[in-house]
Amino acid sequence: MTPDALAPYLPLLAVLVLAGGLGAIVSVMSALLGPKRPSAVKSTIFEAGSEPSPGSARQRFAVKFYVVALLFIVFDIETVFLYPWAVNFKALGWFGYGEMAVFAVTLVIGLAYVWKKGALDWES
Amino acid sequence: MLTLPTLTSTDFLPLWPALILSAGACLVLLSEVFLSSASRSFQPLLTVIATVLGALVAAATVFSVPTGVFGGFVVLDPFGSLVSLVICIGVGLSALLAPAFLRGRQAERGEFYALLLFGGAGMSLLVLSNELIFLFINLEILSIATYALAAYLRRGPRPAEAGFKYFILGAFSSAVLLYGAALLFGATRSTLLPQMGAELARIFTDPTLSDRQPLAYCGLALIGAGFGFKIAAVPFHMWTPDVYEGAPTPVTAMMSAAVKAAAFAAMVRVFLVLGRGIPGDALLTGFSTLAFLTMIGGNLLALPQRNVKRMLAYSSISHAGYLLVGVASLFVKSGTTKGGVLGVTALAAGATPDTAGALRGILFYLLAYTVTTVGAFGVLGALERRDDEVRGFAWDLDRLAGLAQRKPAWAVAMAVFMLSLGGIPPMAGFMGKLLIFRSAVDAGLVGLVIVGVLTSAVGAYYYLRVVVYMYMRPAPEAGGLPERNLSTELALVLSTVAVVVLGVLPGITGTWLSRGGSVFLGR
Amino acid sequence: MLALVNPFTDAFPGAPENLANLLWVIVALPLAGAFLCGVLGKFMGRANTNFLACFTVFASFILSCLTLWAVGAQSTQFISPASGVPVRWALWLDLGRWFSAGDFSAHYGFLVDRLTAAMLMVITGIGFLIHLYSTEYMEHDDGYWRYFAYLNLFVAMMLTLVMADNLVLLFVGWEGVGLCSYLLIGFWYRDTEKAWAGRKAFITNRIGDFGFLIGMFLLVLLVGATEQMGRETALGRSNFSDIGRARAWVTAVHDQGPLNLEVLREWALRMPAETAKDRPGMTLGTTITTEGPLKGKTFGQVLTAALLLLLLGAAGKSAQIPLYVWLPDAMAGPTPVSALIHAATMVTAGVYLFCRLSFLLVLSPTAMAWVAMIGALTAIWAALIAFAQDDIKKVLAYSTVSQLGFMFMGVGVGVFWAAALHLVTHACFKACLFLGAGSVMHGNADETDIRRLGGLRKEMPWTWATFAIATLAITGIVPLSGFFSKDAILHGAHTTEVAGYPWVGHTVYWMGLFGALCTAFYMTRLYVLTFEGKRAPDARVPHAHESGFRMVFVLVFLAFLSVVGVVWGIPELVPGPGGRKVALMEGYLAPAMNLADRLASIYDTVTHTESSPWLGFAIAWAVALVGGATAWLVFRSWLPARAGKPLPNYIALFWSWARAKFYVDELYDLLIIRPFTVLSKGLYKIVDAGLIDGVAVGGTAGVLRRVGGWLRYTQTGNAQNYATVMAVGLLISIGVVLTWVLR
Repeated sequence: MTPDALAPYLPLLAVLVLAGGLGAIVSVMSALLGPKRPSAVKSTIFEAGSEPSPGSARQRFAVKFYVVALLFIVFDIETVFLYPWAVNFKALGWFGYGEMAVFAVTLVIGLAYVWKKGALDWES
Repeated sequence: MLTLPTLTSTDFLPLWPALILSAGACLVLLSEVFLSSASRSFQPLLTVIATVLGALVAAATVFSVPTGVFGGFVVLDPFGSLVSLVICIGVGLSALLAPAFLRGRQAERGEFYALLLFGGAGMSLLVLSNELIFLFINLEILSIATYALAAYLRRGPRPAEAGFKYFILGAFSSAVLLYGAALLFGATRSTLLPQMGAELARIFTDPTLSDRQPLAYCGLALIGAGFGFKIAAVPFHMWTPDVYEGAPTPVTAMMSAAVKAAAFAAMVRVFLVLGRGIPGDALLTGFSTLAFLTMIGGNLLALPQRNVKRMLAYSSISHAGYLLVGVASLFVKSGTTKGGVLGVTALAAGATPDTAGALRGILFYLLAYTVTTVGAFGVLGALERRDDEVRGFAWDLDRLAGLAQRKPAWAVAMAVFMLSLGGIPPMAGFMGKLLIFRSAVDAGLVGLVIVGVLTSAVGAYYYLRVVVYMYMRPAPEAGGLPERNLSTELALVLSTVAVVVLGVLPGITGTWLSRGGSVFLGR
Repeated sequence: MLALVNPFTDAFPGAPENLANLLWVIVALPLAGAFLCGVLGKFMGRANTNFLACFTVFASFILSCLTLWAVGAQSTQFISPASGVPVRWALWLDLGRWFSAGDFSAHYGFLVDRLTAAMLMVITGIGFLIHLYSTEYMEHDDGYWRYFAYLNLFVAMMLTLVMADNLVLLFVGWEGVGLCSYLLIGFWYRDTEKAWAGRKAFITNRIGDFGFLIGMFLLVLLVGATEQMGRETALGRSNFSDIGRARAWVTAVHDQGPLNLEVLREWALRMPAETAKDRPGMTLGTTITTEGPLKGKTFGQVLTAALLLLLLGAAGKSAQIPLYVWLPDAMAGPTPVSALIHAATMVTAGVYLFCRLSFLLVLSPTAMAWVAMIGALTAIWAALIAFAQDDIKKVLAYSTVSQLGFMFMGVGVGVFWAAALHLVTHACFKACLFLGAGSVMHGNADETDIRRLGGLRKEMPWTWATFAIATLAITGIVPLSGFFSKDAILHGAHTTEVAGYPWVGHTVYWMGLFGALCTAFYMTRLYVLTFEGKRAPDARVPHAHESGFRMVFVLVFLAFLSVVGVVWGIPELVPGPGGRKVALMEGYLAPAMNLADRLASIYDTVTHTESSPWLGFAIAWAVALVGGATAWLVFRSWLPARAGKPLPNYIALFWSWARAKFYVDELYDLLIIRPFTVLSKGLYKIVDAGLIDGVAVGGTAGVLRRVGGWLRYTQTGNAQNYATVMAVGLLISIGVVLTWVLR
């Protein structure tokens, strides 16, 4: 494969390097500069809101976590799509507006379904 | 500067069936949560209306000129429209079978129909895909809907097993297909099928590019394996009996009819477009080997089955084999001769490969098989009882014993379906086999056709055994009768009539089907 | 009914083409009726089903009347597809190609000329009356919907038969009526004997149909050979010197198919007989030189063979020697069925076939002689058997066989119009007789033995009166319709000479006369034993009751027709072709028969000598009177007087033989059925059960099943294994590609 074929992917590489580098820099910086005051509570394993499980790892999880995570991803992606649209709002014009409306309405339908189905109802 | 593609109404023309199905699915979903207190009997009706509308729109585009739309991502061609039509028919008939089945299991929920419709939309888009990523996404849309449907009755061990197996193995095959697509992309630097086809042709003619040939071959083989899973070709068939048996019967009907049709059509499109530049008979050998193994394997495995649902699952494998004979005949290059069962026999002068004829044969077969298999599973689904499912003899042959005395009309319908599956005139299945085998003989695949005819004869044994049980065995003492249900009976009547009419008057599909040989191959 | 329309009008109001386009409706109506009665009849209820079945046939009848009117008009014509020449007094509707196979094709087309129109009247008119009668006759039967579905289907099929414009479609109707006949004979299928009677009818007809099919194949080959020789040989080309017309014919052979009637007519015109020596070209004596199964035979030989095979088919359907045995047993069906199918319409299909193909028949004197002799023999044979039958319906059945023999005689000596006339009049009076018999059974608790009836004259006055009129019509004791039609046949036989068979005409005439004598005798016997004298002491019910209004109405109407039908047969009534005065029917059918007459006179195959018919009529009248009077004396006076004393030996011997139907059934059983059964049982045991079932099927199935059983073990149910199999398959295929393909 010739190098020119990969040329369009150069920005991607840049993003990768930037994101990875930034993460690394932040971690390193906080490790170096941050104050360290360990306590018993702080050093327990963090498990997304649930009690840490000392016994078997094959415990049953409430499916609610997954649903919320899925919903988060869906709307996260929506934002990802909305952002470039907003940037090019004028150039895309009514056509872009229509397309995004279809996209958003589809998601709203999904949300309405999920909501009524009770997926957002944490207690039940 | 941003350049917008200019989209016209023609660009959306092929998408309409999928759009209608999706809109129907959204409606059903919303109705499920907002109208849940009301009776749910309108949901199947809504589903059927959506499929009928989809079928009508698909039928309306049959006479279009093959073109690529949406920047070449989607095609508008009669072949795709006709397969969309078959898919809508398959999904619609399966939806008609569902209400009685679900009611018997207290599982009437709108999600079932929504998933059916979403799956249908995915299938319809799949056959129109002209780009590998788009194709993969559509394949996943239909697969995910089908995984969920297979495990829909999640309370029993069998549906859970079916859903799980289907999901795991399906993910495996999707990965294989995706890997193949990646390899092909590496070889051709494009994901648009026509461009890939042109590039492949260059790879195989330009000696400086010959180092990419292994990549191309491996990619093709992997994509073929991925499709082989969806169409249940031997040796990628292993999931079929377990999943078909465990899935709710209307879902099984949909899987064996519509999903199979969609996967076949997509496979034919991909390999027709990509295969133009492949020299020699690599594709022919591949497909004829698959056809050979599938016909023999499917029929032999079906032979000892007493479980009719499993038998039909194996029968679905064997029918994939017959269809593969038609697919193989697409890749015979005129002038080649090679001996052997899988090879091309030189025939009398004038016999030339007729690609359009073979495509028409495949289309007719898909249509005939769709109406037949949905009907057969429909009868079976209406006869099974919940409490027997766990013990596994819900679909034993004895369940059908004496059906002719208890329910003469059902027995007639089932007999019609069995005869059609067995390829016995004057049923649709016979005409389908005839068309496929004829185009294969025209192409010179005599050995394969002989195997096909012999295995059909083997198949007649287990299909006719069902008829024997229905007509010549006394009814069991405590044989429960299915409740009468309008929509189930409507589906059965429609498919029985379709099977007989297509068999007796195959010409009524005439002008439409004659367009079926028209596939968009790119510029 | 027939008098309602004047057949010689010059114009038909409204365009005949529009009517031609509606011809399919005539068939479609009863067909739709059959479908609806069969599918919905059970749910519609009895009254609706009755109405629907009668209505469809009646609507067909109205349309048939219109077509009768139309083909009576001079302005009605169509352009023959085979010659491009207009055909007058006929309607044609081509619904397009039905199928084609290789060079052969057949269309779905309807042709109505005057012969067909007459048949349409009989089928729909009498058909409607019998439907009406059936509504009362079947009022206690739960299978009414099945009955009317079959009956409507029968009408549709019979209409297809007579309206078909080609022999293939005609054969569809031919088989269709056979099917309906089978279904209706075995209508009460729970009774094994009746079911067997249906089977017997079906199988006997199959034998005839086999002949019919082979005959059709021969005709196809014959037309094909003619066309090919016309293209390839110098001799043949001279038959096709008229370029335009010849091209039309060749086109029609390929497009309309060789069995189209117009194509066959044109063929007959192109194929002069030997006697026309002054014209060069192919004649019937020419040897066929083109490759094929006909090579080396002459056209005439093949034509004769084809016609004789068609005769076998006609003998099956029309119950002639040797295939007549099914018809008497067919009386197992409901009586209206016997009247409609086994007396008035279906059994006349053979006669219709030969009238339709008259232009071919006159080209082959041998075939004509055969037809005439078969007819004459059957007429006498059946009449003799009828002497000693005691079942009222059996007597009428044998009488039908005998009368059909008369019709065959007419066809065989070339007086086609007389045969057709006898067909029509026979349909009226025989339907009346059968329905009268049905009425008798209806009023006497289904008693059919005439020895246990008697004295019904007072108890069933309407039935008696109509039966008496119909009896007079068939016997010819009083000149009613049957008298003139039968004697037109006899007169025709007397004055006809078939080329090469000079003895046929006279022999047939004398045999026919004897047949007429017998007819008068057995019919009078039937009438006397049933209606005259005192009621038999061992009767089933002490008093008979007269039937209801609908049945009586139909009887009266049919009796009326039996009387007025005489109009059509009175000789020298109207001016006909050639300035002669002819009977109404002869003049009416002249356009349909003119080709046959023309060919017969050109090639001298059939010669009619002109003579006054009146002397012959007087003789026939005398014969009928003698027969009738003898029977009256014997059964009214002589036998009752000799009650208790044994009969003279010679009479008793004849009686016992005739009663046993001359042991023909037993003969067939011994000569044909038994050897066949033994042979097929043997074949079954050795070939079927032993070789095929045991070795071929069982062996193969066993091996395959075992292999399948082993393969089952691959299906472990374990998802890992499945994935492994997939992966291994994939690896093998990639390995194959990388090692062999790329090398």
